[in-house]
Amino acid sequence: MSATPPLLEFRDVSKWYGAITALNGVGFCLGAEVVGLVGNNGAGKSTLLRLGAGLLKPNLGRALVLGQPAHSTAARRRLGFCPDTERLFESLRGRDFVAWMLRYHGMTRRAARDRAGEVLDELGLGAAMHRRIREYSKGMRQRVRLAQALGHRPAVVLLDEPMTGLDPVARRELADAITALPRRGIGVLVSSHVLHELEAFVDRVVFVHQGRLLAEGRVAELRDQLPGERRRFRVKGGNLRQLAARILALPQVDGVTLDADSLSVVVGSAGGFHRALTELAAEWADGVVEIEPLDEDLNFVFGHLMS
Amino acid sequence: MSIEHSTTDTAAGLGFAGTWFESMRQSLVLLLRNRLLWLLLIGELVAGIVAWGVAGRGRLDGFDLYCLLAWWFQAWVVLPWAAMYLAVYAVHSEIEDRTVQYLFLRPVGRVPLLLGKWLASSLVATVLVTIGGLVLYAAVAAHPDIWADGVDPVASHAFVEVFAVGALAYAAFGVCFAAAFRRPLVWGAVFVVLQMVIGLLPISAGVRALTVSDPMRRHLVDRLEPDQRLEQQLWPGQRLGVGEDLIGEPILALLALSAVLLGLGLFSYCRAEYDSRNRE
Repeated sequence: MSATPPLLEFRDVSKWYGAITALNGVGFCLGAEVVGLVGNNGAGKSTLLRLGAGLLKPNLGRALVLGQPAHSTAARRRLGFCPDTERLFESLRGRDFVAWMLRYHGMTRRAARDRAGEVLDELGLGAAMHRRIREYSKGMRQRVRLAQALGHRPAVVLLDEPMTGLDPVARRELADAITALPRRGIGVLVSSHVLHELEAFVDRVVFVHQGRLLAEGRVAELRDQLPGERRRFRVKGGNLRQLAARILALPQVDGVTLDADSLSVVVGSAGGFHRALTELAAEWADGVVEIEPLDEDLNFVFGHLMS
Repeated sequence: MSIEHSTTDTAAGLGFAGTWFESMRQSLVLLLRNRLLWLLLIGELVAGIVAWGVAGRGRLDGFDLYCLLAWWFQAWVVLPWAAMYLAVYAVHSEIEDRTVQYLFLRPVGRVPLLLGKWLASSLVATVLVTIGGLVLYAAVAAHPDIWADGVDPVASHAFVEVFAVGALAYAAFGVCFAAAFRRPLVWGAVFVVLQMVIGLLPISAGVRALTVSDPMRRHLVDRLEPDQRLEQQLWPGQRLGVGEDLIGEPILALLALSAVLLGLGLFSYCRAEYDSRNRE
């Protein structure tokens, strides 16, 4: 009995352009989840997404969609890709463009037009879908790009900077929509420079740097694995001065800063600090009210890895 | 925002013929929105007015005047530039601005996509030049007194045939250049100028068989059966009765040339990744 293949799989993928190595031996899998692709400009994110979309072929390794080569017709039926290019077919109307793309997925002309209208409506472009694309704002263009990626109900969705140009409300709505996709068995690989937004809706992150896979996993797990890194916490309590003195006395603590309504604590060993703080809270009622890690976010992990 | 999704497969795709037709239909839609096309059409109408004025002077026979105008203006100048420009526009503009990736993401082959663009650009070029030819014909026919044997529509029929096969071949050149080169219009211009020069070489120069204008002209002469003077005016490089069998059947020669060019264009179009970095 053969196991079900992952929705998207990169197997030791390398890609080079002449003397430039864009990707070097990158490998990871995508299931029914949202995975964030993070890296600096030129790290190889777009190349990786294009390999996954079958627009590029790897020089070494394989990119597979449901076990099929990503550039095959069978794979393209199950895949939606939202590229980061600005240009679209400017003289067409939004709905006509999406319907045209859906026609190539085998829909009848009527079904394609209906589905295009439906998906544009869901993306908040219902009122403007009859206007020509050249009249669209950046955010509206982004929605059209998303519509052509989602219209044929793909199993794998690759999104290259999908938040670009969207207003905050639309960003939140899109994030909600992306979060809902894995519940329907759909895998999403999304790249973005807006790390705090990405962090809000991804299950895992993949870091690429100079064409290599640097790390992958959940943000908190990655943070815990960073070697020799001191950690920062915000602690709130009843009597801040007294609390600062008690915390400073703990052996794991390297420093305490008194802020307006909280303490910023720098510790060398997070595990030992947690235990000590729990004991302190147990023996001193109202002494410790709240503890919050300050550096467990994607931005911090990204900064550390890149440095 | 709630995007409805399912992992069920969509239909099997359009198939070869369906994709070809859809690509042609959509290319026609995009080509007809090209402003330069409409400027060319206005240019054709202006040329008709000029032809009407020239015909009014009555210095040339109506049949000869129409043939010379239709050949040297329509078939020699307008057709190659228009057909190649339209083919390049249909193929290369999408490659340049990378909108072609939206097409390559679909579960359809690249061969029917490119063939659809080729057929659409050929069709538009044929219609454009045919309209121009008919305008010229109407302008000259508006002076029936200069037609020695009476106004004869056979010449306009022959030219429509020549325009149609010529457009297919020139568009094949355009498609080939657009798929293979970064600056296809420059290559197209070099080709047109080169074939203008080659077209004036004597028939013994075998390289003439590689041009589009030469088989076009041969077919035209076969259809019109002009007198020796008109034939010399239409084909200055021709030496009557010498090596006529070097060129071969003109329509077949053009179709073979088109097929070779399309093959080269398809090879490049299907193989290339058209990634901006790669092309730089």
